[in-house]
Amino acid sequence: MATQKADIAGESLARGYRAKPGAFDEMSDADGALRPHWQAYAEHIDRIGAVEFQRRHQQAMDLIEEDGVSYNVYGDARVSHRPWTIDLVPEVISEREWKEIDRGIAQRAALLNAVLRDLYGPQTLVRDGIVPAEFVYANPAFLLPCLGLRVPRDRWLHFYAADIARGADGAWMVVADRTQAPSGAGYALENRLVTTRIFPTITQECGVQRLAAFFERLRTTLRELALSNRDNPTIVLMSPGPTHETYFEHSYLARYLNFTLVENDDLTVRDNCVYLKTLEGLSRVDVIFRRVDDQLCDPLDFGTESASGLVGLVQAAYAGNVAIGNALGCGVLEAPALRALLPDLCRHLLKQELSMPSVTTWWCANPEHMKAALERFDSLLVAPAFSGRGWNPTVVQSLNPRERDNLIDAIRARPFDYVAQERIVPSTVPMWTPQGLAPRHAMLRTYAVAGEQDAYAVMPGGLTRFSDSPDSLVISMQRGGGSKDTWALTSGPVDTHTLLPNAGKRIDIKRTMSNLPSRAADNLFWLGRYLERIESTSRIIRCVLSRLTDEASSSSGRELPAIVRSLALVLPCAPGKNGYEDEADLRGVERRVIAALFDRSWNNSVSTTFAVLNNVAWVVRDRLSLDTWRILGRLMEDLPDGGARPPRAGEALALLNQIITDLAAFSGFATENMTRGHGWRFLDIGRRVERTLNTFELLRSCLVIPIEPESAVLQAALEISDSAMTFRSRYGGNLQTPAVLDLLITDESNPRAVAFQSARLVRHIEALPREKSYPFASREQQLVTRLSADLQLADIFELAAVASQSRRAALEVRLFEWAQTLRDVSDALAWHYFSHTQFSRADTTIRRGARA
Amino acid sequence: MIYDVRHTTRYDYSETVPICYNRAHLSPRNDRNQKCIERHIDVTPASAIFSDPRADAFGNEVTYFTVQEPHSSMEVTLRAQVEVSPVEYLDLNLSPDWQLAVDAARAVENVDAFQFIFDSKFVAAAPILKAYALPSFPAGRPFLAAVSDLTARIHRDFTYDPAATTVSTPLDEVMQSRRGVCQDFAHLQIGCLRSIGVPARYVSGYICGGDQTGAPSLTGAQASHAWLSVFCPSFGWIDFDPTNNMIPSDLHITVAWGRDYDDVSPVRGVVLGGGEHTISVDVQITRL
Repeated sequence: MATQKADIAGESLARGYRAKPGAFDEMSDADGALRPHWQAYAEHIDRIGAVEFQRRHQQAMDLIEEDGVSYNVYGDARVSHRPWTIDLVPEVISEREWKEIDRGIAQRAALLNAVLRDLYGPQTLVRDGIVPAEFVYANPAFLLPCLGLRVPRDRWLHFYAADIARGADGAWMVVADRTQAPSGAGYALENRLVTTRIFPTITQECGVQRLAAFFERLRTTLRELALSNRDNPTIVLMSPGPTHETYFEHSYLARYLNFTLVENDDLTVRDNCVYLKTLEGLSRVDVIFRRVDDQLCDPLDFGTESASGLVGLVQAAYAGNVAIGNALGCGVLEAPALRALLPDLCRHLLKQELSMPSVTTWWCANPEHMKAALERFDSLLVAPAFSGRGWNPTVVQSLNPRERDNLIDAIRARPFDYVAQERIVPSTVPMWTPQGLAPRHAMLRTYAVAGEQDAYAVMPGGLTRFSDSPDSLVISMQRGGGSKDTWALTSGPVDTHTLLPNAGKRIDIKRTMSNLPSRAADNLFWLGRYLERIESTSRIIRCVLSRLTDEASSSSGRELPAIVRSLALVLPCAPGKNGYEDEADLRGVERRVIAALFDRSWNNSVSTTFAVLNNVAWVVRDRLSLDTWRILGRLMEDLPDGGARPPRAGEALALLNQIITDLAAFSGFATENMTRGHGWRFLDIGRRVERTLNTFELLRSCLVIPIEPESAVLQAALEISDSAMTFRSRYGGNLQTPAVLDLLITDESNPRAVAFQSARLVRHIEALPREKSYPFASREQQLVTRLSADLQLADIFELAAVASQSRRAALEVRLFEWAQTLRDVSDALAWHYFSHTQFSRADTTIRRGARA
Repeated sequence: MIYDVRHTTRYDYSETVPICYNRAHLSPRNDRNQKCIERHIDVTPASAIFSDPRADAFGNEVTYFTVQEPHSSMEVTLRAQVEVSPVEYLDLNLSPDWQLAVDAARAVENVDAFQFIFDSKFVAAAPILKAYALPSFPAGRPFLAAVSDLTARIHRDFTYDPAATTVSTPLDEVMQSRRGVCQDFAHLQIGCLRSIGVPARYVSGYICGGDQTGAPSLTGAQASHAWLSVFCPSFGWIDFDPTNNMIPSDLHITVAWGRDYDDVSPVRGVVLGGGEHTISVDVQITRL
């Protein structure tokens, strides 16, 4: 063993690498020698050695898992949040070469902006025949309603990305343009952070340019867009929501850039201005940094079937009341056909040659292009001219003769719908595997942000993505594959810019958080409710299971059936016709109770609640601390998937203990680490409301119809309410109903008692923002104060009394009334703080006009 | 000829609507033979908030307004005075060979017309439409004569039947049932023309019923009307009305044009809530 280890450690990692023949390799040249700009990196990792590298690789995976960095994969009925995959070996680009890339991308961004300005303005490019009219009018991404729109500073493109690849000859070329809402920059940043956490000194030693200044520029650019509140504009990052593939990045960037993360429903247009719905009311939005595609932005002007989007946004933009980055309509330049036009456009608009070429592309709208493409047809890829994404090009060579003829016919019928492009073999990069470095094909996404005047600043780095196997040329995060940090080397001083607050500048002290969006408050409220619901259900299941498995107890007697029967209202384990007379019945109970843990078909099972909680938690993840998020991650891992084999009682018990402990940890973090802002308040309100309702339900189930022996039922109720210890210390083993009711309902000093919850609710609700001009108590205030007073005045002995028909009628009535009041409180809160209109849950529909 | 136009669209909702956003293409255009003397759009609830009117991508005046208070019905009324003069007599046979017209539409100087050759939301070129159109387009036939023949055939082959279609009935269904209303016929003829490579646009407007003059009663007078326009080199845009088999002149009032109904729908809206809604339309055209 020892010698083997020494062997691995002794061999140079970089020199042991074997590149793939036939492709350009980023690290080693044609003779297998290390390229000079990789030298410093190779030395660094050789000092680390293979064993240590493997250890750090694992450490990086753990970091990503813990930070919850993820990428959503489509195609599942349920969205699956897949951990982001990063390879620790960076893509290293020499200083000389980076300068070329920088120049190429900056020029291209400026060119595309000039094209957009013309296409949505005077359209002289079309009138002069430089851009074929098909590019505009056959292109579904050209938004006619934006023709004539004036945008701030006449700048359409603020944030641009280009996918570039290196062909076999070693030259970089652009393979795709991303102009509406480019993704990935946040992942590039996260990759850099992981690299520097795992190898703290490596980027400095190797002279790697930093990324922070680029993001600062992005922030400045968006701030300068503001047409209103120019001194302190409100900027929101508009996301399609947690089901979007890159939602993690949306929340990550929002936090990093200090913008409010919003979805459509957080915003509303009134009087042609965009507003954010917050707890304090409507708050004006000045700039929208959007991650929503063009056509989903405003159903009034763009939609026909779907009404999703922010209604009235286009009109607000026309009125000059909101600035949008990128401007609406920029998606038109994602059409692959553009690549065929760019060399001429560059000469015409910038009087320059295109600095970085695109992959050779022929757009068949041009008869000469079509002819050229058909001449070398078999060596090409064919793709739709106007659909940049979600479409795999056809490899002509892979077609049979009939398919090939059909494709040619289709092209001849509608030539403007097709482009043909050269097939390229992207260069390979080394990737870490436990066996050493191995080659993968890779592509680099580069980014540019609008800067001074018409210039663009390029991110010194980017997101390198690679294929999932050495032979695959498909580079897609959707279909496996991973990403790596990208190093742009410099021999000059490394920019030490940071987005962290400047230590030299005196900071304004703030005690309040920026406005909490109503939807975030709504979700935090439900997060609190679901967490409590899981705890309550888990405790009930644990109570029953522990008695079923406890051989020593007297449960074979009358106790267990009594408990099971008394919990019939809160568990799907109602007794059979004959009650629980025999052993077989009890086995059935065990099965059903375990189903309450795992069965996704039962609405209130722990597993189902977890699934809903997961969705809610994702929406508010930018409001939860990393530690809190980790606990949630652990909770989600606790439960096996619904399809797994149901566990035995013993396993289930261990799991329940784990869940209950993790929930306690979550509460601990929430109590100790969350500032007492409105976010925390709504989380706690949710918990208190749910706990109270659950206690009411438990008492109703256990005590309204007394079941003998009642002491066993009382003991179970105390245990489920985590109040058994307190009870024992006060009353010993003297289990009397009035004493239990006091401890669980009226004792304000017991954190599990209903009165304790209502006292907390009164305080929380008083602290919520409200209209200052309205001198009276709000409806929710009135209701919760009444509930609290009612609880204080409750007569325990009267409630415990068994009236006629062996029923605690007084208890039954009061439990019902109290629960109703609490539900009213909850509705009043929702009405007041979440919806801003009684109708927020109503569907939005497109109303067509009358027929002509 | 001066017309007084009154066009009311009323929406009734089964549930209260807290807020709705609207886009109206109601103001009549100024055009070669038409002058909009005045126009005014009224909305109830009167608290409706209007944006400044502006020109859309086709030069139509478009009006945006929102109703931001809870309401259970909304009424939009256009009142306008429009002066329309007859179009000059056209000798259709003097128009160029239809194939030359197809080629000319592709010339760079005719790019504004060229955009109307492409598929739009409601009208896409299709082989079945091309097959229907071709008998009107034998080699060498003057372009406008061919279009006129197609107009006459649609008028003959299709039955005006408001019960047969809805606002979003697709063209192939109309082809099957051979029934529809003016909107369907306009879409159909546009589809036929685009399928053989001719640019054609949708025209939304009104038609004077003719009852005051004793002229033959015209179809489509009770609601807003629709027809189409084709681009002919050296003639410019020439309108055809397949519903009434005629070349519109001073009985037609042009409101707006676009690629199809979707671009120029008189009142389009996005509504929050509201449940079911019913729509009623009243159009009164009076000759002054």
